Amino acid sequence: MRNVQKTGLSLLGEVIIIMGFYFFGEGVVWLLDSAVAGSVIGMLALLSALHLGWVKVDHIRYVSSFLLSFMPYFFIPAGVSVMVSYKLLAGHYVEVFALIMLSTIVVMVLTGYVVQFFVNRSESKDA
Amino acid sequence: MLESPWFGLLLTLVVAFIAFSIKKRWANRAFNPMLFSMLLIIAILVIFEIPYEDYKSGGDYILKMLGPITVVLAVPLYQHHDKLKKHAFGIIFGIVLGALSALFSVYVFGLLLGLDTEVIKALLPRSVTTPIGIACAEMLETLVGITVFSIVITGTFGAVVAEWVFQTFKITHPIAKGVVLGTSAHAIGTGKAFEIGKVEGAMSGLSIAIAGVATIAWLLLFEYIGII
Repeated sequence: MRNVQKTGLSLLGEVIIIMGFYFFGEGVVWLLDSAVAGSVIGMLALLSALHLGWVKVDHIRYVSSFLLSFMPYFFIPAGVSVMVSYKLLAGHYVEVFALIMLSTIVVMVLTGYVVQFFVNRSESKDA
Repeated sequence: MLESPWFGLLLTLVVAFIAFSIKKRWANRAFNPMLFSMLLIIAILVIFEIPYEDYKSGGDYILKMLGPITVVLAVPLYQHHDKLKKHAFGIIFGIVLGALSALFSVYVFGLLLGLDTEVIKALLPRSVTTPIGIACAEMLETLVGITVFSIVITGTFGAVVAEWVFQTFKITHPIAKGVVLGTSAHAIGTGKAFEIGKVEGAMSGLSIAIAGVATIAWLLLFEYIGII
């Protein structure tokens, strides 16, 4: 019983830290009316806190690895919304799908080649 | 009873559980749990004639978790800080160019396929993460609904084809794979990247943020020049 309470308390602490940074980001957006998403500001704030040593990875280890390893599942409701929003395309289904597929592959190949070229070059310089 | 948020929540959890079990037992990289779950839920809603709004009231709670998830991306970023620092130029250059190619290819393919300028405009920010995409769409004063739709389809498609693209075009370096997924398929791609490996995931998470900022910057530049 003691153990359950201890684990529960430390998980609660992890949740509070993560939610706190998220809420901070949202607060900054609200105050400054910024175009950058609150979650991105929260992420940058947490990153700074980790670098400054104010927060240790151990303080948020379990909840953060849970959220990250199940990340794709949190997008399921966004995927389901497609069953309504497709109507906005009003008949251009084939063209829009074709465009998204072609364009995505172009971006992937180009980005991949550029990054791989520079990464390999700086790695071979070390060797 | 179906109007209660518990319905959408429970349905998502049950379907996610099924998808996760299949993924674990079958261990096939080609099986995409997000795509499977989304199609299964749509099928259930259509077959039993359940209105989308009934699902949405519960599903929205799960979507709200994407905020804290974005925050937590700081952890792998911090842990792989050395790699980022070492390859900073290549990574940032690749993402900025990738963001430009996303805008350019939408424009060119859109014209070739004969789409209206209004639709093309709405599709421009399709490869960035949803909140940034919405900000871009509002900046361009275009149809936000189409933008959100195209963001979801892009992410899902990107995650599904990623491994095929990596194999066919010989993209083998973990850093390159991660940057590709984050730049081209935002957070849904990052989910896939974490499935491949920790370095891939960290790089992908980082790329979402940089690609978002780069896309906003390119759009502002184009607007300033007067192309859009």
